[in-house]
Amino acid sequence: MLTNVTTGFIDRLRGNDEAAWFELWETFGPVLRTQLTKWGKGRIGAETVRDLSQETLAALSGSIDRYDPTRGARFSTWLLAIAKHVLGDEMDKRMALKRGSGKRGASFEEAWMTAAPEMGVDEEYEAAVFRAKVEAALRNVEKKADFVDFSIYRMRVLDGMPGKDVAGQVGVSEPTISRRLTKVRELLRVEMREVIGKFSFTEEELEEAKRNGVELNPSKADDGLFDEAIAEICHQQQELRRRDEESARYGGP
Amino acid sequence: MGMGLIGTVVAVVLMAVAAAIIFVFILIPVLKLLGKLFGHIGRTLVDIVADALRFVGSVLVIPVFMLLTVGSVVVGRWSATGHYGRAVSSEFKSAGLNLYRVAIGHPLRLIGLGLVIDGFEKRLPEVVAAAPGRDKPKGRKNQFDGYTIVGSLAGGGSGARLYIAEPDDLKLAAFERRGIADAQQVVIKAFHLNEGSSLPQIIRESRALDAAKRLGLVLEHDLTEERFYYVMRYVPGDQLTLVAQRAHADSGAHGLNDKQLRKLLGHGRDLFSTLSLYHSGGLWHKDVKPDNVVVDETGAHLVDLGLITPLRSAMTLTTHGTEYFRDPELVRMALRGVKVNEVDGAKFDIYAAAAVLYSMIENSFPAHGGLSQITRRCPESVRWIIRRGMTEYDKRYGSMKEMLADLDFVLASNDPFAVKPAELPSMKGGHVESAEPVLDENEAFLASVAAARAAHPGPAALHSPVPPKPEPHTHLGSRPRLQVTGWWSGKYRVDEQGAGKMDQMAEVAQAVMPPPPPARSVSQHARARNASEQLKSARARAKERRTRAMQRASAHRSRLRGRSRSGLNHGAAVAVGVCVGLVSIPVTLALLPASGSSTTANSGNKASVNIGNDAVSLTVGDKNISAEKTPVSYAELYDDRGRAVVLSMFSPPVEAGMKARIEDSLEALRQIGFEIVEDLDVQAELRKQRELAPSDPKQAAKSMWKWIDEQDGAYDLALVLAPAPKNKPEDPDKLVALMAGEDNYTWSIDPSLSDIVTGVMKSIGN
Repeated sequence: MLTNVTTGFIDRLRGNDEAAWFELWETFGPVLRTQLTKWGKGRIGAETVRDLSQETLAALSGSIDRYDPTRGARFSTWLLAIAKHVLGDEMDKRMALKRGSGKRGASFEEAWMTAAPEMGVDEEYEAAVFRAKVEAALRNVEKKADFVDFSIYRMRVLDGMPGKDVAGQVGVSEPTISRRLTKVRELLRVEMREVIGKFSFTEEELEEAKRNGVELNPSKADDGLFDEAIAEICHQQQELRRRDEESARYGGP
Repeated sequence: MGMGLIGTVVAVVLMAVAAAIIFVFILIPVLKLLGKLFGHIGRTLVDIVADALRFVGSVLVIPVFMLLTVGSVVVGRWSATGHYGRAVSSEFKSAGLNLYRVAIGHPLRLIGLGLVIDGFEKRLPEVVAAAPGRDKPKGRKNQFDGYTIVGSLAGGGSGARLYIAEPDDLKLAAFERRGIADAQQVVIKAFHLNEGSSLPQIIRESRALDAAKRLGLVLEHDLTEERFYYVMRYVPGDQLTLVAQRAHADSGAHGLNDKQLRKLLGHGRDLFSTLSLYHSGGLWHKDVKPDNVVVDETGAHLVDLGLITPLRSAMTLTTHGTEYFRDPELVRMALRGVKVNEVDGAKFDIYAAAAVLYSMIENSFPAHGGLSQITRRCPESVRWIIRRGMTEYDKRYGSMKEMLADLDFVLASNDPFAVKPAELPSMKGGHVESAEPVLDENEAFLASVAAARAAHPGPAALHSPVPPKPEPHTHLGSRPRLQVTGWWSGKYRVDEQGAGKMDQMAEVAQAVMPPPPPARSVSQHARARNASEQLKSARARAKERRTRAMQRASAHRSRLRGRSRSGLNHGAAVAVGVCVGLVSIPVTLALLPASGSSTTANSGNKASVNIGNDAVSLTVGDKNISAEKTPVSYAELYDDRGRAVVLSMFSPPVEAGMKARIEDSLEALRQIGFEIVEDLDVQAELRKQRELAPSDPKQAAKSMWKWIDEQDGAYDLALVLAPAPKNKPEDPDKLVALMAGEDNYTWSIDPSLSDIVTGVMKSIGN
């Protein structure tokens, strides 16, 4: 079942809102590139991977009008299936060009619209998509929160600095640090609900935050676990982006 | 008996346990290892077979492509020749790569030596691609008067060639007369229309040049019929990327040691200081990245002036720049069509400068944007500076000076690690005024440049393409303050100190600014209403054009990409040379002259750019198109001009020279920003309109003007190229060009390329 946020975002995509497309690209570009690189197994260079990830979004833009939310595809599967189609099409084109065999490109049967376990979506990919959503939420928080508050959150949670040290560095008391942390954490939860809602098509996807240790409706005791999960996700996402860029620079994963 | 049984049971159990342990801890890992090994061998073998088959496929298809290339040469299909030539080149590359993989790559990977060949497969191509071009330009006419070329540098993305040169004595004397001393070596950045540069690139660079001249970065510029170049000081140093890599190699895996940290922070300081100067001069560098910072013994210098933009430009933001050093917010704003003067461009430089600082500390790039984590040894205060520089647009430092003050504070301390973010000037409230009056900045900027030129320039000024470091500001100006003395009456008085400042600003204004326009009369105000109506109408037209442009953007880009590969490439030239040599030397010899006339679409396009102190103009052939334009409005000339319907009324077979002229005209239209409509129905309509019109060129052009008007803005230009009427049958064919736009129409008999471009501009109201 789609949330209003999702349908609003889909509407923006359908309306060819460039900002919406850029948001999609910025959030999921690295995940798509990593997946395409993995599938390409060295057959396609970094430049081609970049082109293909862009073509994936272009194909998505072409198919967005035919998207039927009642058929139960996950958002992640939706993206991946289109990426797979684009890659397959590229490979077919190459083979056809190379051999002159006249083999036509892959047909787009819209299998991606249905829940398709045979698509071979691995856990790593699903986790990467979720991490990308968390990263997008963090970016939103960075935009909305006060700079000092967000810096305190970064120092305490993402850098793992003790609260006392953070207080010393920023020149405020520890209780103030605690208050500001709570403020940013709550904002992050709100943003995560928003982002996960925006980039989720199924009920099951909406629940993935909890499955990943990120409780969006928590008790006080959950705060520590929430922070730990966010820090872990951020580190993994950072590593993904680092690999993505290295792959672009040096032509391989 | 019982004991024996128990013993047996225990033995069996122990053996079972031992077997289980062996199975779990030895057999399974060994089997897994074997599985991986066989899998690895199997995959490698499959890869070897696949690559071998690809190699065979390439070898088989190459002769076919070569034959097609030769066939295309024979029938004079030059575009097809280029196409097949590129295919041959691609197949050769593919075959070579597959052969390398089969013979070397896969076997070495099979025996676990994949890392050995990483250098060949990854780093070697990268280094080769980044290698400088030819050390000297081809041909005598392409030399630079007054300079001796002594080397070259790798070109960037602007399509220019970069040469290192030494000025002769006359040039040196001329430089000295202008206060430029000791410019023993210079860099010449040259754009050549026949060597891959395009007019839009030249235009963009000329805009940057105009700004760079204001900063005193450009020593000289010149133009010829086909090329444009300018001269800058040469900084003989290493790129910051390399310097940072060395510093990390010297320091170890955990991050920079104290000595290297201070050294790199010093380079960061140089960069911030230089950028502060740019911003003071009203300029935005727009491409700050480690590769554009050159370090020599005197410090770090910001180079590459290719994207410099005036902060007050009325142009729309573009997404030029380098990923990871370009603020994503800039891209969002550009997508929204925000103008440069509607944002503070300096903040994007602040983002990039902070990203450069990050890259120095991490020896990597900020892949996570503002969320990038700093994992290596770094003072907390420097982390803070980086984060505040890379945070959201409206939360980052208000000015480069503010950021510079923070970094200076860190550098001034004995131990940077002891400095807390809370102690930084920007956090203590004693921060530098961010909203600095531009006039004061200009004053500081002009003073620093003047001082540098008047005095004996120091080493930094001698070798750097950037102006000398500014002296620390002794005063930071603030706007004059008004104090309201009576709220009801609205009376106020000007703060004395501020008034003094106002006078000072006025003096500077007189010195650096053009005189203000005279006050408007009442009648002028009345006319302004008409002008605003005109503006409204113009905006509506522009909006309509933008909408159309967006719809065809993708096709347009792909066409541009295709055009950039036009002409015979090296592979095609080799293929043609080999095949034609084998098949038919006489045929080749016979066709050589034709080749010269048709493969260089630009050869007839004698366009050049003239950059004066206050204006930039385009010269095509012997005609000057836009002498009155400023660089910014000149650049607008090359914006999307709309859709042009072009019709040739020549009946086939068209004589080769005439065909070339028509193709050159089409190319010229594309170069100046038109999209050529290739809809046969539309062309047929235009043909019908032309045929119904009188033969008199003026009447015919007027008829086309009406036709354009009837199209409701679907097309912006109609250009008909037709045979001119002959007085005698034996007269040679002449061309008549009929041009009509929304605003005007004109015609020209036997026009040169420049006549056509001039007529087109006139027709569309430029």
